[in-house]
Amino acid sequence: MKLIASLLLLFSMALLSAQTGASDLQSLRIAVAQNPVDATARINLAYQLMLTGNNSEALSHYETLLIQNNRNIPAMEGVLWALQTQGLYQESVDRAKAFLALSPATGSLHSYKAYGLSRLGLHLAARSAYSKAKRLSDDDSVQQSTKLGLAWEYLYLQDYASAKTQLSKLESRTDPHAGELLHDTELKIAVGAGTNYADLTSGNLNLAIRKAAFSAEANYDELMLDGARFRRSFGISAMWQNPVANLKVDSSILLGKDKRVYPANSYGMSLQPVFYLDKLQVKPSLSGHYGTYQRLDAQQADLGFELRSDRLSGSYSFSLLYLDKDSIDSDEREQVHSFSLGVKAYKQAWLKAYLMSGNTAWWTSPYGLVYDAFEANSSIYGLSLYSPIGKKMGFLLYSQIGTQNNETDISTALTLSYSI
Amino acid sequence: MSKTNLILILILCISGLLGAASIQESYLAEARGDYQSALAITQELARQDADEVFYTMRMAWLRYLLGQYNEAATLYRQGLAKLDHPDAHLGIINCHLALGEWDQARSRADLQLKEEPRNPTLLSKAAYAVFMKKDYHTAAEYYARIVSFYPWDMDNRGYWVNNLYLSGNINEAKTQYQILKKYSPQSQIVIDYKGILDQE
Repeated sequence: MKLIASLLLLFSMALLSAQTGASDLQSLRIAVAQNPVDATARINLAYQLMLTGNNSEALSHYETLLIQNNRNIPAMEGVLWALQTQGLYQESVDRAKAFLALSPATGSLHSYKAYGLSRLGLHLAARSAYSKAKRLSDDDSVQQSTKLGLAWEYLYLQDYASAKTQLSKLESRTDPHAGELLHDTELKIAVGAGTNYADLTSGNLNLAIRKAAFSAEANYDELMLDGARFRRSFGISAMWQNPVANLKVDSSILLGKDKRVYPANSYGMSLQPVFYLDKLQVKPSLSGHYGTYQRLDAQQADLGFELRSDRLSGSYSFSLLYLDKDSIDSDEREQVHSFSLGVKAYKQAWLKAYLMSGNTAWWTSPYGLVYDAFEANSSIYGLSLYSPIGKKMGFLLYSQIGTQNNETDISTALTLSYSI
Repeated sequence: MSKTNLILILILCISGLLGAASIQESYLAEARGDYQSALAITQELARQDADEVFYTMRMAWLRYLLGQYNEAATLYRQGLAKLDHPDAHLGIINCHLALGEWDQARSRADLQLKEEPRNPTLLSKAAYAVFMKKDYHTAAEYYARIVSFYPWDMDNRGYWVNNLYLSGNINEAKTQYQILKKYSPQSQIVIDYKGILDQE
C-alpha cells in the first residue's frame, strides 16, 4: 500500500511538472496570439519551442518575426538554429548568406554559416566564416563558440598546430571531444600494389601514427621484376607541426640486385608553413634531398607551393637536381617541374591530374617517390582518384603514362588505407 | 416499442454522446497545447456540419495559434461570410499584423472602428500597424483616442508617451509622462524615459 501511495505521489508530481512546462508554453502561445506583433513574446515562445524539440513550429515563429521585421537579428539566428537542428545545412547556409547581405557585421550569423558549411564538408569556407565571426563579435558566448569552431575546422583540415592553439584559447574545456581528437593517438595503415602491365609489379605497406602535432611514418616497398624480387626499400619519416611551419625529416634505405645502385640511402628535409587567405589554404615549401647510390650521389633542392580550396586544389614544384657521378666529367644538372590540379568530384572524393616534366632519373617527387633508375621518363602524365570508404577507410587509384625517347609506358597503382 | 426501435434509439444516444465527447476532446487537446489534434477533431466535426460558423471560427483560431496565418485569415473570411462578427474581423486584423501586412491591418481596423469607434483593442491594433511602419505621429493619435476613452489605462498611456516622444512632440510627451509617473511610477516607460522626459 505504501508503495502504491508513493508511486501515485510520484506520478502526480510528474504530471504536475509536465503540466507546468506545457502551461508555460501555452501562456506564451496565448501572449503571442493576443499580440501578434509582440516580438519579445514571440522570440521567447520560439526559444521555448526549440528547447522542447518543436523545431518546425519554432521555425515558423522565427520566420513570422522576419516577415514583421526583416532586420530582426535574433529571428535570423533562430531561423538558422532551427534549420540546422533539422539537419537542413545547405538551406541554413543559403539563408545565412541572405541574412549577411542585410547585416554583414553580425558575428553570430557568420558563426551559424560556418557551422552549416562545416557540416557540408566545406571546411576551408567554414574556417574563413568562423574567423570573420571571431573578428566581428564581442559577445563572450559567440567568441567561445567560434574559437571551438575554429579548433574543429583545423582538426578537419589536419592542421594540428593551429587546432592546438585554438583549443588553448578556450577558457574551459567546453568540448572535451575536440581535445581528445587532437591528443588521442591516431593510427593509419595502408597497403598498395602496382603494375606497369609488363615486367614490373610492386607492393607497399605504410604505417602512420599521429599524436597531437607530431606524426611519424614507416614504409616498406617491394619492387618485382619479371616476378622476382628486384628492389626493396625501408623508409621512416617524422613530422612536427608547429605554429611557424611543418618540419619533416625522412630517411630510407634501398636494397636491390643492381650493384651499380644498391645498397643506397636517401635523406630529406622539408619546411612547409601553412597560411590561410579567406577560403584558401596556401602551403609554400622548401625542401632538400640527398641520395647516395653506389655510382653516384644525388643532391636535390625543391621550391614549391600548394593552393587549396574546398573544391579545387593546385600545386607546383620546381626541383634542381645535381647528379655527382663517379665517372669523370659525367656530372649532370637537371630541372624537374611538377604540377597537379585537383577537383572535388563528389562529396570527399578527389580527382587529380599530374604533370611532371624533366629528366626524372634519381629525382625524389613531391610525394616522396624516388625514381631510382638510370633511364627514367622525361614527361609523366598522371591521374588519381581518392575516395573515402565509410568513415575509416579510403582508396587511392593512380595511373600514369610516362614518355621517354618517343616510347611510352603505362602504370597503375591501387592503395587501400584504414584509420584506427 | 419494438426491440429494433430500442436498439436504434440506443445507437443514436451513443453517437450523440460520442459527438459531444469529440468537441470536448478538441478543447482538451487545445488546453494541453496540442493544436494540431484540436484542429483535426474540429475539421472532422466541420465536415459533418459544413454550414456551422462555430467550427469555421474555431478552425481559424486553431490555425492562428499554429502560426498558419494565411490559412487562418481565409477561414476567418469564410466565417465572416456566414456571420458578420467583430471576432472574425479582429482575427483577420491579427493575421495581417502577424504577416507584416501593416497597411491591410490598419485599413481593416479603421473600417471596423467606424462600427465600434471606442473599441480599445481595434485602436491598439491600428496603432501597432502604424507604429511598425514608424509612423509614430499617427500611432500617438490612436493611443490618444484610447486614453481619452479610458483615462485609467496606464499601459496605453505609456505607449502614447513613447510615440509622442518618437514623433517629436516632446512637450505633450512630458505632460503625459508626468501623469504616467504619478499613477504608475513602476511603468517601464517611466523608467526608460526618466533621464529624458523627467525634466522641468
